[in-house]
Amino acid sequence: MERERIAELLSLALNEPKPPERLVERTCWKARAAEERFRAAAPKKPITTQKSPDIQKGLPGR
Amino acid sequence: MRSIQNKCRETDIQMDAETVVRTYSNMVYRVAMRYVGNATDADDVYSEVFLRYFKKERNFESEEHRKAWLIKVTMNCSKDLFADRHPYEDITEMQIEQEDNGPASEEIIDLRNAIKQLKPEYREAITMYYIEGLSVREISELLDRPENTVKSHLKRGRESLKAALEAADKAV
Repeated sequence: MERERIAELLSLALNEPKPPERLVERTCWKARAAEERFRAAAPKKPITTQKSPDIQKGLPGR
Repeated sequence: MRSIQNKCRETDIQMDAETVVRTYSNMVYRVAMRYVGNATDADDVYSEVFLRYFKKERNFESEEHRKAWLIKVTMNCSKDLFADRHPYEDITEMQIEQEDNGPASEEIIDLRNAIKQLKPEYREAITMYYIEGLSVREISELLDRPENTVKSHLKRGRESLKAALEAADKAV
């Protein structure tokens, strides 16, 4: 019997519970807050003035 | 597990934290329920796992690595909660009561009972391999068992479930 089919039958037999919706939503809220903290703490890239590839090669601008 | 983690310091694949929660919620809760056996404790384990995830450095090199990390932490949090109990002992009945998707056929109930009869280590390997979709190597690293032992547990578990699986396959 194929792995997928066995997995399907086992899942059906075990009938395992899903987390309560309120718990998932509360955790998602914490996730968004953590994501904001993570972004705020990440080092910001310095603003650099990069020349276009044409200028770098000494070609006339477009 | 350690070898994968060491290898993964350099790169990470990007997925925002909320997407991770939504993607792995069911898996984390399922694994927690298998170890703690009741919804109240599974709720606590679930919250703790994601809290640890939010605090973790983002250094996963693949989705498989992220998934394995989440399962490992779920197992550890569950074991911390029930340090004196062997995982997968006497919990199958509780799991079954949690969610009802309508009446199950006789063959599915037989399969359920056959799973319940499996030795805990066989049940652990079978659920990790088939339901969570992990490889033998990943299970070996997660459970800290040699790959050959995992293969043997899977083989013996499958043999014990063979008749019940075949009957359920014809019925469903």
